[in-house]
Amino acid sequence: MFGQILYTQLKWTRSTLAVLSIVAFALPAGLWRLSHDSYFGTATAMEVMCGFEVLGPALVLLAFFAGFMAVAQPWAVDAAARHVYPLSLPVPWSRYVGMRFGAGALLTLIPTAALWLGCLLVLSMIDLPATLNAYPGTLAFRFLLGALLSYAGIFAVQYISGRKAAHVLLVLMLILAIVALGSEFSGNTKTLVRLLDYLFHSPGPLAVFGESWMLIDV
Amino acid sequence: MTDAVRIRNLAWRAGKEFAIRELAMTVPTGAIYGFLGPNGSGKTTTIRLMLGMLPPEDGTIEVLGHSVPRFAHRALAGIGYVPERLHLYQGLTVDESIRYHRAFYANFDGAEAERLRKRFGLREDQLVQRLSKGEAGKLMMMLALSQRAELLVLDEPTDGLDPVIRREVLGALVEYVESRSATVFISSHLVHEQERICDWVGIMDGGRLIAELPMQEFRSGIKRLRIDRAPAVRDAAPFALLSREALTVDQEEWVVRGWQPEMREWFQRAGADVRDVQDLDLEESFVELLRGARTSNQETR
Repeated sequence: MFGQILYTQLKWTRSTLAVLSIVAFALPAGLWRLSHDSYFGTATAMEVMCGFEVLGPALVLLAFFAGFMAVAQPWAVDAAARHVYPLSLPVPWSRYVGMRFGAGALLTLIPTAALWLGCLLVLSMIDLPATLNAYPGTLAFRFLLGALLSYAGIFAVQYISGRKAAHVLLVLMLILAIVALGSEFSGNTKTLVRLLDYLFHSPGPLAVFGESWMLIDV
Repeated sequence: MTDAVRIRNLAWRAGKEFAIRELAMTVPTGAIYGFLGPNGSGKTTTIRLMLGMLPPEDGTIEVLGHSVPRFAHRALAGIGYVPERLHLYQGLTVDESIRYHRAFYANFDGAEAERLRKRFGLREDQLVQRLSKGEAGKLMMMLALSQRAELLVLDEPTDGLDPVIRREVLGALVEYVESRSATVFISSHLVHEQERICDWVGIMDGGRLIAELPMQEFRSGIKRLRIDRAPAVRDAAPFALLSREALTVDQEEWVVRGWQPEMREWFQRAGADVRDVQDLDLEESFVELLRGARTSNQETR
């Protein structure tokens, strides 16, 4: 049963997964290339560090997008037939949703693995000084967590409780907007900064997106 | 043996426009139950309630001995469902659809699916989204029949199909019922098609089940009477009066349900005389039943 769900999900998302995986694989090399002075010659660890500092947010976006696409496409297929097919199958809805979730979560491993391989490739092309360390596994794991976090959030909105979850999300965004506008007009940005701090810094719920995404660090 | 489907006091509402009210329905095990009604009468909604796809506001639903919607998944294990519109995944091929479907049903008969696929002329590598309406109907029917279901729930399964494909689909259905003594619940507005295969009939109109009776009774129990000096009061009549219409000053035409020849005496006692008794064909009977129910609804309002 799960095998078939995984198969269908892979079939629906394979093109997107392929593009995401190529980008995830090529991005580390691309970051290094952008920061490398000359086209030819050996790259330095510093150049790679600079590349990741400047363009690291691209990885955050990629992780978010990977999670989004892993859920959006299968949901669109079910929604096109108003979920009649899954609802007519002899499995409890909660189990069906659980299997769909599990399948999507597994598929996010593909771009994660591509990113990890891309990082290893870049590391194989540079000489790492003894004072610096490389973290390809940690970076790939961070990418996976980011993708899973966005995946879980979007999945909850679409599958679990539909409109109610969308309303909760809307209220949260409204609160954020009100705090931001309030800070802007009053000139007191403390509340907004505190809120963003809470969300994006450890141990906040979105901390995985907020912290630095470095391949090489001290 | 229990009934295949047993619904009592079912209520469901969609906004202010449409509601299912106090629906009571019984589908005996082994019956071929024709579920008739005009478009928008609530047939598909009733089916969705029956399969646990919609939560009822009130009432009880039991399908194959399981309470729905709570244990809908258990009931669904024994149900082959063919909806009104294609519900299968469009990006899969015929073969992939079969493999996907079979993963969910323990009793799925792969050899039967293969036999029906060949019989229906479906290619394994055909994409579901490229199937014609007739081919899609055949694929859905093929999957439902291959499940070896105890109960087949078919929602307008032949609607929009050409006569050749309709005959093929109904032929496979009849074969299945004969070989497995399954219960069939078939919703349609094609009255003549139901007449050929059904032994029970339920008629929906405006969210209410206005009649539920054996096909034989439906076929022979609704008559058009021409009456001289028709009595004004009808409450004590031994039949159900569906409609009455004045033809001349002292002659009326009545459409009645539950007519028996000995009921002429009732008219004679009331000083009336039945001049003529006409059989109605199934479509006329259906229309008269609907008209009668709508008239009595307006009177009670």
